[in-house]
Amino acid sequence: MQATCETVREELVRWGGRVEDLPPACRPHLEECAECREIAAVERRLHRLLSQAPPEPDRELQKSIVSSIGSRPRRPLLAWLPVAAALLIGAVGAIIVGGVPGIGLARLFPGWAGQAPVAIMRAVADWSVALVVVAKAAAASVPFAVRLAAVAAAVGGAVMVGLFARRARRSAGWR
Amino acid sequence: MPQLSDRQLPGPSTPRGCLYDGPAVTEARTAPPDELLVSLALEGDQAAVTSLVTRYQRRVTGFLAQLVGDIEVARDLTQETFLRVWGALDRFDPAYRFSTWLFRIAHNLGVDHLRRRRLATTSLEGEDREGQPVQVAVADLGKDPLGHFENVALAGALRTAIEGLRPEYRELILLRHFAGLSYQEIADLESMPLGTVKNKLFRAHTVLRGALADFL
Repeated sequence: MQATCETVREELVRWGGRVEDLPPACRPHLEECAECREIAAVERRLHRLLSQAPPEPDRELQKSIVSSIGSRPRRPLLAWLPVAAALLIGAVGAIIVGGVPGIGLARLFPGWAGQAPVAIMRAVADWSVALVVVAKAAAASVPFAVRLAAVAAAVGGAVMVGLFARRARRSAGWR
Repeated sequence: MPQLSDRQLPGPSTPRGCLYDGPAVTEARTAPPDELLVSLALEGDQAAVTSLVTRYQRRVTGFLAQLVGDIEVARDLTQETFLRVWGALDRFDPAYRFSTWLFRIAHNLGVDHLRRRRLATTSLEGEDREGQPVQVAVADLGKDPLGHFENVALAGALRTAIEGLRPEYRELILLRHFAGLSYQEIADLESMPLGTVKNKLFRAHTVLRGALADFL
């Protein structure tokens, strides 16, 4: 079956008007259709024009890029900032509550492996009690403005971590 | 460690109809494929890094210059693109094309820049003495991405024609003719069927042929 004008013109656009590159099925149509031949000629000129549109290679820029890459570690330290912040917050939390509640959990394993869910629940409960105690103590001793500032800082930090993660995913994590 | 110059390498599969047909194609036939250059770059081969930058700088700058409308900004964004690529190179999946990954990063940086610029600039629209709306055109020819054209009228017509395209057509024209991507690469990058890319580029070209009729 012979190709239609639209099929041939799609192929002409694809191959920059070069008739020799067209699929064989398009060629008989082109021999018969003067309008498509005219479009082939215009497409060649348009392709030539568009190929001149990008600027010439910029050797200075290339050198600058290569030297910047050479002087930079592949994983910038900044990328680890959210992780470091999370670890710091965790460490500070552990210090505030006077150690890590539920650490005795480790002694239960492996002998009492069957009791692990109970032990985990107790550990969670320990944490909850510790957090409530710290919150009450803070409410009693820390002025309201300082507490408000602490909450604002925590929310701000969480938002920043989220933004960092989003930016990293947009720019680098694609596939 | 074997270096780029030590190896006998197969050439990349260069699509027919690629933007830079001509001498570049001859070079491409003997050049190592991107995926090999990436793995060598990860091993610390400086020549492989240089090859990747040399291969793509013009295309990235050309693409970004049209996207943001400023050649100087495009140079800065090109540098940033390559640094981001370098920072995430170990996360590159060789099952996909390096070019589509690179241009996705360039595209995101360009769009982020446009968004920031839109927030940072005030509107130049206003009213004339009779209360009619007017737009103030600010042209900085030194930053014009088509400033290297000797024929100023042709550059102006080309700029107007491209800017006049529907955004979805414009994007494909930039990827095809400024980034130099093949139809398949564009389809991968845009997550579009190949037939849709073909059809949209055909329609975009029909518009461009009409707009540039005096020069073709």
